[in-house]
Amino acid sequence: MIDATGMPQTAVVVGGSSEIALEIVRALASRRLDRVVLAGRDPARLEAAAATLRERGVAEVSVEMFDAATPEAADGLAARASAALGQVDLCLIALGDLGTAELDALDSSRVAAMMAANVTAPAAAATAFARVMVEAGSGRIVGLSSVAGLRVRRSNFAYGAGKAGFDGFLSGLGEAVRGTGVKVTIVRPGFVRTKMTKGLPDAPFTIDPLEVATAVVTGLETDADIVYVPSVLEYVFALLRLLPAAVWRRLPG
Amino acid sequence: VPSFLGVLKRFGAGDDGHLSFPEQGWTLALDIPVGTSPALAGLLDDFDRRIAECGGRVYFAKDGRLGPGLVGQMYPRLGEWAAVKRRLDPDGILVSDLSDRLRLEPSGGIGQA
Repeated sequence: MIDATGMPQTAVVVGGSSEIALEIVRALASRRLDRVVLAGRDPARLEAAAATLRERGVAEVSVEMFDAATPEAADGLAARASAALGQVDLCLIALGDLGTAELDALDSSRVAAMMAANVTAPAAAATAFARVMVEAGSGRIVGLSSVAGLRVRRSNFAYGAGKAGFDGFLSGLGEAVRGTGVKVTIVRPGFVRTKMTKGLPDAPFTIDPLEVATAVVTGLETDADIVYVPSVLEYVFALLRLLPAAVWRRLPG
Repeated sequence: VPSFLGVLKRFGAGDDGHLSFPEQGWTLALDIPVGTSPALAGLLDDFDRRIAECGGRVYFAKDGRLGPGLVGQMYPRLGEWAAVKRRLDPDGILVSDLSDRLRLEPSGGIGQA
């Protein structure tokens, strides 16, 4: 169960080999988390992630298959994870595909795959787990959105548009579960140094996965609806969203 | 950490209950609002460790965040309680948020019902 300070004992990670998600799980494991299900599409990477969590003292870690290409599998995943954990305290959704924003490479199947990874599958997973949690009367959904979705820009527009969709979906889902004992938290990081962003130059306010993890734990403790990492991005983007397009277009990065 | 209610009591000798809280000595209860400080959980975990180290215990009925790790040390007769529980409730049907949080059931506190 989730204790009085907001700390979960059981968690499902959708996108189970995400570096940011694993850092969050490690931080929670140093508190109360002792049973975890990692769901994703690459068994070898999931098993490797599971092994590192077991080394960290997480008593029970299991692996489930979930591919963003088949979002409708989310209902089955939620049922299996819920059976394995008894009660799902936390569902952490960490799917994403930075993909490309180059028109040459962005054919319709690539657009569809990026939308599946960034919005369709994450939204399906959030909904499937929300339904299980509403039934149980408690639970917390934490979705990794991105500031890239707050104002979509040229350099990563397919990714940003997907994140914008997921972000909006989560805020509506949060309203839909109000009063049921279930809560939704949206995490909006800036540029995080991970394998997804490897090779890209650092953007302003670049952070490491550990900083996201620390902010998410604090968000759970203080019952936050939205977590910006770093927190200053809330104010930076409040301004950036107001910039005229002609200025926005000229900003570097 | 703000605390608007504090109760300090002196107890006499404890009794025979397996999970009875009182024993010879002092008890301090503090009402502490959660969700205000990110440092609170760590501070209270540290209190738990210190209390357990000096042979004290946390009162289940007043607490909402103790983890499973120190329960056996705080309540040395936990094993006897668990044996009675197993005998009277072999299928582990009687569970609660508390037994779940403290992992009091050998299966991990998840009900079969």
